[in-house]
Amino acid sequence: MIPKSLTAASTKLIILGILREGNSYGYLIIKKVKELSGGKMNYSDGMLYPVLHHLEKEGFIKSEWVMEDEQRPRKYYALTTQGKNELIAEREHWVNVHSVLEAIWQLSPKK
Amino acid sequence: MFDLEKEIQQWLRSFHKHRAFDHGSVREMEQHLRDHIEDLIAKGNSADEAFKKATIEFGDIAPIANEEFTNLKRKKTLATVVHSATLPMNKFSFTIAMRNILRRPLFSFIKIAGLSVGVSGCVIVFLMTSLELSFDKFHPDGDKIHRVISTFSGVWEGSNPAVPLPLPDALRDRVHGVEAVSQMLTDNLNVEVPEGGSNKKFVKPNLTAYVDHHYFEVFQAYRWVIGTPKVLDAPNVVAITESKAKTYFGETDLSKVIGKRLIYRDSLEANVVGIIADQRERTDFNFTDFISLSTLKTARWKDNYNFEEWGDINSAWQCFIRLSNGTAVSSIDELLKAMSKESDAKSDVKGPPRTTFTLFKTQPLGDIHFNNKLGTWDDGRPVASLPMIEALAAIAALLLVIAVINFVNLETAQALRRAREVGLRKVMGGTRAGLLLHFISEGFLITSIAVLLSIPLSKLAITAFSEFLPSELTLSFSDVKFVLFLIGLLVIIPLLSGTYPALALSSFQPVDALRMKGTMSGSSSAFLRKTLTVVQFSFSQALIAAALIVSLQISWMINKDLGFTREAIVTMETPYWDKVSKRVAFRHELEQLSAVAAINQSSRPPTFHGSNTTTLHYYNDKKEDLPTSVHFNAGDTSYVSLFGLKLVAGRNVTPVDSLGEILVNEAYCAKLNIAPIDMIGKDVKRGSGKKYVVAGVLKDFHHASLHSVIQPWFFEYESNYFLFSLKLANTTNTPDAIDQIKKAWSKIYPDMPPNISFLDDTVRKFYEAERRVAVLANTATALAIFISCLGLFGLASFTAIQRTKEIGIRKVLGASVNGIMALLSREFLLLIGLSFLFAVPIAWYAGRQWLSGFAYSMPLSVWIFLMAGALSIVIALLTVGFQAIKAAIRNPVESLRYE
Repeated sequence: MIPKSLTAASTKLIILGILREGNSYGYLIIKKVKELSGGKMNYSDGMLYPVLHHLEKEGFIKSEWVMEDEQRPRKYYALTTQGKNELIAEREHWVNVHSVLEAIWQLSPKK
Repeated sequence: MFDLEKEIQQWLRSFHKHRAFDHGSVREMEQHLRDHIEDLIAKGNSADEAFKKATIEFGDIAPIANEEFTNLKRKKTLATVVHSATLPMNKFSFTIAMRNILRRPLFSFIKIAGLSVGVSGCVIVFLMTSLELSFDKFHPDGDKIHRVISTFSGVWEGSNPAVPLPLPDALRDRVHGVEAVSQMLTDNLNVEVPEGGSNKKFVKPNLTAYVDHHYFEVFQAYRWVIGTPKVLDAPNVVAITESKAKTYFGETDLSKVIGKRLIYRDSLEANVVGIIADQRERTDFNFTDFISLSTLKTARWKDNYNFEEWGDINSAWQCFIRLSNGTAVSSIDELLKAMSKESDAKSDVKGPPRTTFTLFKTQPLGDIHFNNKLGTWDDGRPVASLPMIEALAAIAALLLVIAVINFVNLETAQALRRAREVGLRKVMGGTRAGLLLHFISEGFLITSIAVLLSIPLSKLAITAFSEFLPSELTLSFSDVKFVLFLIGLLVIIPLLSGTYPALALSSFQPVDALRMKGTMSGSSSAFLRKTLTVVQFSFSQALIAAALIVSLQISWMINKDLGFTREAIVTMETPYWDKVSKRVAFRHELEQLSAVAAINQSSRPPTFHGSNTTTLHYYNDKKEDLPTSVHFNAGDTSYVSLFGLKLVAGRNVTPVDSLGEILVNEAYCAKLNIAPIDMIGKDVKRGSGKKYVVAGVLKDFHHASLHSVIQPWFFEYESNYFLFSLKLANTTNTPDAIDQIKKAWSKIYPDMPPNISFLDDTVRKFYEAERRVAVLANTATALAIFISCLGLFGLASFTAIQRTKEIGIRKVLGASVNGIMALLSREFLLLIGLSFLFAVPIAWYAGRQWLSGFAYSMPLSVWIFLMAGALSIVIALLTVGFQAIKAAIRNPVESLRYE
């Protein structure tokens, strides 16, 4: 199970990354996260919403209520241009972290 | 049995404990939970299990609320606020707003009609203000230009926009720190252009200035097309504007105009030596003919001007100065103060001791257009009427307030209907800010329509009220300031009218709103609506009373006995500059006419716009000098009989110049505290030293408008004065009489149009300003009542609809049509009755203030107010009654039918 702190730190990237695939609403987003993490990331579903609202406030994503016939109204989120840029930057950070970690595994233990 | 729906509602309720969630996010999470439960049930879970799993996976609400709360507290940027506000508004909000407007055509009409009238008022006030402020702004270094004027204190208080003739030269010799001093005489002259043997005449007089080159040093904006200012230093030359050159000579080649001759006022000849470009900017200095100042020394009427005399000040002789860089105007005022004392000393050489003291002062160029005490110059454009602008501004504001009140009232009254919309929007995730914006944008749309309509409406008003408004008033969209002003209105009015309803509507709890438990029908908004209606009708009733007061005072003044006869008397002024022998000939012509019963020649009729004043010195038994400022007239002996003046003591003057007999009025006797009978035979002395003896005392009559108290007055005998007063033999065939008089005139003065005026017209013209006020007050009242009644009509129709069922039940239970009508009208009548209590003191105070401008005014009786109240109640009854009847005669079957 991935620790909480790491989960929290990666949420932004994960949400932006999922939305890159196309517009989606809260329930589907969280479903996708669970799918992708194979249950290794422990979320409480509700915590997703403050993050979504925060990202929206920052201008990375935008939302729209969509009412399809005979269905529930759903709040769809979509990536903004600013959000796309943020995703690239965020990805860069994680790649950097990853390469540092890679380098660390290369170090041979001293006796 | 597990009730899923109940459990979900229970779960949702726990969100409401936290302020962090708005309706949108609660709704969002509700959908999440339902989706999840559905999925779980689809996978084979029972409803009970699915609910438990879904809520557990959703997690505790408290930490989520904490997170959301941190979100809320994060710094808001303008972009995020606007973003979140516009969030729930879809692209069609304009269409929705438009639909809302069209769905309630009556209410929208009421709002738009009121606002467009209010906005038109504002537009006109704006145009007037910006027009008046634009005068003479183009002069280079205009702040350095000042006019020198004279003020008087002592027995006679007053001012004159001019200075004594020798002052400009003396000032030029002594002053430092002044670039130029210009002396100017203004006049209004007709022109003849010699052409072959005959003269081409231009009867309409031109505003003419006698100046020298100094004038153009002060006012540097003039552009000389041909010639330089220096050419005006020679006598008998003139510089004219380009357009005048074309009018006079029909010549497009301006150089050919130079050297041509013009004849002013039948005898003054001048050669054209310069052409000046027409003044394109707005100016009071709209002189077209500049005759050289030195020409005056050769004019036939040159004896009228004494260039050495410090004692006379004629308003046509003006003086302008231009300060040098760094000169404070106070230093000039200091010098002028010293010169004032010297001036008084110089004119004191003869005559009794001085009772009035002169003080010369500077007046900034910018003040000339607004100073109605000093004015511009004789025959110049009237100064801007600040009280008129202020009155119009107040009226425009009032109309706008009444219209905004309509808006607020109708909007809050309809709140119940809109509650459902609010509820739905909130459930759909609409934030409060978004709703506010939505409602205000609807107000914006209505205001935009009103502003659009106000454009043709203002144009109409400008034509309809052309007699009050400056003729240059035009509406132009190329004026940036005007466009900005309209944009300003577009922002302010929706905020003013939309904010309260928007705040109130958006505060609805969606649950209540959707259940139609509209909180707006509650007491707080009804109270507000009632208060605003009372405000509206207080204004309207106060205006009705004010309009009544103005009209009644005018007719009271016009019909009041002024102490002299004014019926069937015409006056005509013969040219004062022309030969006296012509007047004698004219009198002889008039004496032949059957239509003329009596003739008098005087300086002016008993009442006249304007005044002549001088000082009379009376020495009492102790030889003490008692100077009194007096008005005076002069004329021949028929003055008393022709105007029906009454002698209370003594007799009429004897027609002998050398006797120096005068008539005084009772006011003069009262001033000296001497009984009229004791005044007979007393000696008095005029300021100039001339001695008189009092022959008779006249009963007081109103020698000026009823604005002023009857002043001490005297009449001296003098023959052959230029003003003719004619008593017509009968009033049955006035046109024929006028015809005869005109014929006689043209025999003697063939070149001049006769200017005949009726004395009762002259009296009526005293109250021209009041008549304008009356028109304005009546219009404002009509508009205010119209807009207020529109609002009332809207509210009444709303109440009638709201109470449809109640009325139906009442009718079924046996209520009569009259009873229903009374029920519906009662509340409005109570409100209007209440307004009356507020309106009376306002109208009484305003009426008193206005009437205090008159020395003589009608009594302000109670019935004026009662009539205003009654009138407004009748109008309101008619307005409400229509709706009440409609509701009352409706068949209860219809209103009670349950759809």
